[in-house]
Amino acid sequence: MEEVDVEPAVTNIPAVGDKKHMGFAWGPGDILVYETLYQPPGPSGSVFPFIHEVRKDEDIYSPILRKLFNESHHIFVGLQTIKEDLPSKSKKPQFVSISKNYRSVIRACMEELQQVAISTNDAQVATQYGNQVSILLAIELIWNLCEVLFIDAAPAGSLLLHLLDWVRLHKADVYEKAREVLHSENPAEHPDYWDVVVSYVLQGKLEEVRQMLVKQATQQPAARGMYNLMDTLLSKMPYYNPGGTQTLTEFDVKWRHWHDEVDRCVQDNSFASNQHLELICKILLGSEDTLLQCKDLLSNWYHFLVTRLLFGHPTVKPTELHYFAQSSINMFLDSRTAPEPLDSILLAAFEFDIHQVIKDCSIALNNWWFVAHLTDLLDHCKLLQSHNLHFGSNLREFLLLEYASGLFTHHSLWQLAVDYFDHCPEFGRVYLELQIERVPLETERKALKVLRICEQRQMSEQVRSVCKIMAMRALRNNRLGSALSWSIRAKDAAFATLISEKFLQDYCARGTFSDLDLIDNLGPSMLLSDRLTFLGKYREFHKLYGEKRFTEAAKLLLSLMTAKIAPRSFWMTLLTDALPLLEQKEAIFSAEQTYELMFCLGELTSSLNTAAPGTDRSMQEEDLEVTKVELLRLALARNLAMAIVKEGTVDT
Amino acid sequence: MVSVINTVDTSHEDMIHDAQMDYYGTRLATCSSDRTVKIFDVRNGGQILVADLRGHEGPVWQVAWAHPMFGNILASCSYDRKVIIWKEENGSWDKMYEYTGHESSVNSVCWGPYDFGLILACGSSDGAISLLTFTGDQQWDIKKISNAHTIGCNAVSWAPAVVPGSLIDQPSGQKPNYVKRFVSGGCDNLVKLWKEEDGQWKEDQKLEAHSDWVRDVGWAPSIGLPTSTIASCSQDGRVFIWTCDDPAGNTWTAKLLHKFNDVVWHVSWSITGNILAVSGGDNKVTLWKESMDGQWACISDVSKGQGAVSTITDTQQNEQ
Amino acid sequence: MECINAKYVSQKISKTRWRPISYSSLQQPEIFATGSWDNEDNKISIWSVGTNGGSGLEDELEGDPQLLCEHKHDGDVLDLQFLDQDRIVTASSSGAVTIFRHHQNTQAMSISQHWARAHRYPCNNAPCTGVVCSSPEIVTVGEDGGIIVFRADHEGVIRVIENADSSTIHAVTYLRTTEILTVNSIGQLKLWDFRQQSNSPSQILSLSGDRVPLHCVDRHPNQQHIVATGGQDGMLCVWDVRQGNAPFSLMEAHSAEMWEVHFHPTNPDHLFTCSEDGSLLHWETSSHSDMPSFLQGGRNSSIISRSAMAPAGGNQSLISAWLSGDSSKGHLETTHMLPSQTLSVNSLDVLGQYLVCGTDGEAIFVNRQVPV
Repeated sequence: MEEVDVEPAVTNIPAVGDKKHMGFAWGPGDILVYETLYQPPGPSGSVFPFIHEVRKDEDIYSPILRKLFNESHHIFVGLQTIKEDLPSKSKKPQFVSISKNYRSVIRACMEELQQVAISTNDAQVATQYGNQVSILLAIELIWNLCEVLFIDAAPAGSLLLHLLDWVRLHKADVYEKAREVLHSENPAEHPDYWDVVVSYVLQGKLEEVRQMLVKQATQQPAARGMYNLMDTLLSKMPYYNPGGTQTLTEFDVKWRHWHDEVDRCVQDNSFASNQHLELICKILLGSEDTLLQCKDLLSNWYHFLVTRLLFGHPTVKPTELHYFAQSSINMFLDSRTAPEPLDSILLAAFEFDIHQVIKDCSIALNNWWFVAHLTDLLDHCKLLQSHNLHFGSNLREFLLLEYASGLFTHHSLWQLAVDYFDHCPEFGRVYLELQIERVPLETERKALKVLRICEQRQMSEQVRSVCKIMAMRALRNNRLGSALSWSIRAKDAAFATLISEKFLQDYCARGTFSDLDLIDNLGPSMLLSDRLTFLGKYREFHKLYGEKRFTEAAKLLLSLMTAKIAPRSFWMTLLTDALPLLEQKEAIFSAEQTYELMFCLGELTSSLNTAAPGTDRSMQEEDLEVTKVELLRLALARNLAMAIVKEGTVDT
Repeated sequence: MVSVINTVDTSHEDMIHDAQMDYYGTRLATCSSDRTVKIFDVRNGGQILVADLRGHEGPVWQVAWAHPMFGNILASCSYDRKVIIWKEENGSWDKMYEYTGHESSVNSVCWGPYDFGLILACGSSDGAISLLTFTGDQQWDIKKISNAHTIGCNAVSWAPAVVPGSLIDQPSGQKPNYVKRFVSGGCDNLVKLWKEEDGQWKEDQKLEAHSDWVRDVGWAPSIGLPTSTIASCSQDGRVFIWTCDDPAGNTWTAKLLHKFNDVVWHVSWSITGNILAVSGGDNKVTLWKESMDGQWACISDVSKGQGAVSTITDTQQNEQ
Repeated sequence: MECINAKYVSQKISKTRWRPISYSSLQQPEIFATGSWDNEDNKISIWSVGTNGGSGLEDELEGDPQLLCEHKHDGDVLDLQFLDQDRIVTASSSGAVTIFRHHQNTQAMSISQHWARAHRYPCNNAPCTGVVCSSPEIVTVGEDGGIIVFRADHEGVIRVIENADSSTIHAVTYLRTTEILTVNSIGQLKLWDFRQQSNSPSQILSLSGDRVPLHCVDRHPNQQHIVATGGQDGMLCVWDVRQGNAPFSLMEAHSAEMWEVHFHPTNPDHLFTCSEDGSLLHWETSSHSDMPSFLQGGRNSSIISRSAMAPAGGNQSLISAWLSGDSSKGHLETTHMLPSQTLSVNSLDVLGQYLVCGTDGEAIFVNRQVPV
């Protein structure tokens, strides 16, 4: 969308042979490409067995920019919680302060990058960081201007003061030069002395200019009068004070008065004998030709613009800016040099074309962080609706989704992306659903963090999927207990059944239960699957038996079969478990219970007999089974007799 | 800034035909005319050969990873008419199942959404599509659609598991009633949609627009809209985007993404379905994105270039 | 809040620990260690908050932690403890247990002992989730449910209890020199007595029924029978291991997983917890009626006390404020210690008046004026 009118960027892959094809796959955020030949079959010639992983957004991997991402995430989340219903007046200072916070994070990052770029010995790293610094510089410059024009939306008068601050902040090399001059043995004689003075004038730092001029004046007693006159002019230049009682009209009158005074000096040739002072005077007059002579010191057209306004149109209105900006750019750049992308972006800002600013930025800066955050802030300031109809607030979501998707492909920053998706009402949730499952789960701790994200957002499908993955992994690692816990959390009955089977098989093989701490502690989760219920109940039977609570144990054992909780394949084991109970001195099973046991045995043997011909069980096994059944029959008969006698006695 | 961040030397002795990252992007599976399938651990920019799977007797065309909730499972298909399903058990990769039900080269394999369990669709040059469903205990249930595409089926791709015609949130705890659907493309120039009804696979739609063999099809992930989207590409050089807003899934409209000058071999959607990657006979991979107003635009090219590692002719500038 | 320093460190912090100090010398804590997780290259790092860092930069924020040295760590740092003044033991997601030595004169770090794959499954590595040490003995626990005892000076393993737990063991602490306590993912606390040769716990305590996973445990520094645990539901539980097998009191603390709980080492009426919900809480139980002013603004947590049901202890004077159950009278106060945060606070450590914590937002916070 943003890129419709530009040529797509081309990424070259080394050495894909002629007449070969380029194969690719998504993986999952990056793209894998390799040389292949789709047209089968045929001689493939020489083979190039490499697969290249191509990444869209490398900036994310810069360790220093990570601080930018993390800190701005914090600011972003804060911005989203600003109450919608506050009156817009009280919100504006908040938005301005948020904008400043973003910028100070950019600045901090830039400074750190600068330091690293200087201190590194690796030329390539230095260039890389240098490039990042220049991108951040541009970002901060644009952001600051947007803050002045759109967010703060300063009216005439204050507008110029803000623009002046903006230029001063981004043309800070003057102060360094000034320091150098002032610290030299004889500042007035320093070769850069007049450059510094004029630069200060161009930035409207007239107090500093006066201090500098004193140094010169003391050395030229003859010219004292001229210096005094200049000092008076400089000290008298009125500045608008937005907090004061003065109205803009009053200020304008005062300023014109001062301007006339400067003009008189020029007419009188008051400074004719000193070319430097004459230059300063003409600058103060706002002479555009003079300003253009100072191109080197201004270094760019927007400095020219602001200086031009300062000395020519200090009460410029926001609506007039675009005219001055356009004419400044025309005057400053000669016709041969085409404006750079940054120039067009700034110009678009001066034209108050927010959409154009965002669009140009996303193309020129190749950095989603900036456009996403700026657009979000402007959207909160309700500045996007009035612009471009077919984007509206969707532009915000589009850019946030791009930025957050980039974060999600990062092995560590994916957590930040979650909050961005949360604040994209249309597609944020689906994006999160599709991406969150792709986070590799190396440890349970990480799985729990992913689960928490999903559970907080009622993403039950993803919760299930994560738990199932963890359950499967635990099972593959032979951790039945963990596997069961995870499948309980996934509410995955089929898997719980599978694991319960394994526990039971284990029991049959070894005669003891493993993981008692877990099985004894199942609680209501036992009801997840029939087999799990059986496992829990069967273990309960063993516990009762161990505690010699035979009557209860017997009752439970029987109910496991009659209520069809126990799988048929397990009945023989259960009946065998009944043997020692049947052989107690006291009758444990009542007559009725014994009948039921007999019925179970009958049912089991009949099904065994019908199944027998097909199965290929060894003779030995068969014999063992037959012996067991006979033993059981005998024990049951004996118990029945005992029970009838006992019950008969009690009855009478 | 697009850049190459890692290069894996697969050491395949013949042409690579497919490469697939697993679900998390930590393992890479590749397959080649040298009849092998290889698995690499590519975490942290490294490359460790995890497995070198031998079992096919011809060029291996495609590989596909199953969802991790089923364990580590990979399917491969080959010119040798076989589909092999590989599984990692106790640290080593072995054949889990071998399917030999096709009479000609198997060109494409694709696992269904995990909501359906382990289910694999396979498209073959014999014109048939097979559906293999794991039923537990080493058992696979086979369903075969004979003569799905005359002359041959080149590609299959599953629809995401969504409930047709309903986007309203399901009552929680209730298992939604998903319908299994997939799309296929073949040598009859057709794109066909298939749907399971009462356990039987039926042709649901026949989409006609291409004038030559359909080489690849890709069903886009669902992003919550009541729209289904499919991309198809063909030997006729065209890439179509098919969309259907109708809950019943009956009315599909085609939009031409681009007409390339050469055969288009492969289309594939990104995870969130916001980017379509296309690769064709012009040695390029192009990335496409839909704008707010429904226009498709190329946003990036990944192209062969004059890199340092030169093997053959790298004098030829790629045409923009 | 003004006394809190935040530093962004470009890595998600999983663990923060102060280097121990000797109490006799009235020293202030100066050095702490951090471990990172979820990075392609994880690290353990040593930081200084001392003023004698000698950086000389005037505009340097006072107390801004300065990196002294760092070392690559294979896998996520899942736990980290100081063995002594210059040795650190780490638990890794790769299953390894490693002792790092911090060479204080050269500000370098090296590996002095490494047990690779200490925790493992038959075919894979199992993450080692927790470590506790009492020099020279080191005890580790893992997702494999195993407990391993090492000695810093022995290459071999002293004792292994395989499958000590059928679930994942999340944390471990010493109860006394021969007894440890573990917490697991199904809400159980298990006591292990190393004097016994048996491979089963000497006692199991559990939260009734709910099976809420427990993530952290700490023992009262003076009264060895009192332990605090925190789990998935963010509840703070205080247990008396001598009495009953259910928690003595349960307090609602956080809205997500509680990752760590720590009694203040010298002033155990104070307790600190941190959580996935991005908060760090300071708990104070006090029998004084004149509440310090800094706690007045603190939020009152809702409290569910089971103390009424618990049997009365024998010697009243020995019963800690944590077990007195006077919470209903407002003797338990909690205060949020961090400005609003959205990402998880994974770890905290407190020593003297100094507190350090680390977050998934890749920030380290240092507070030098903890009101204790």
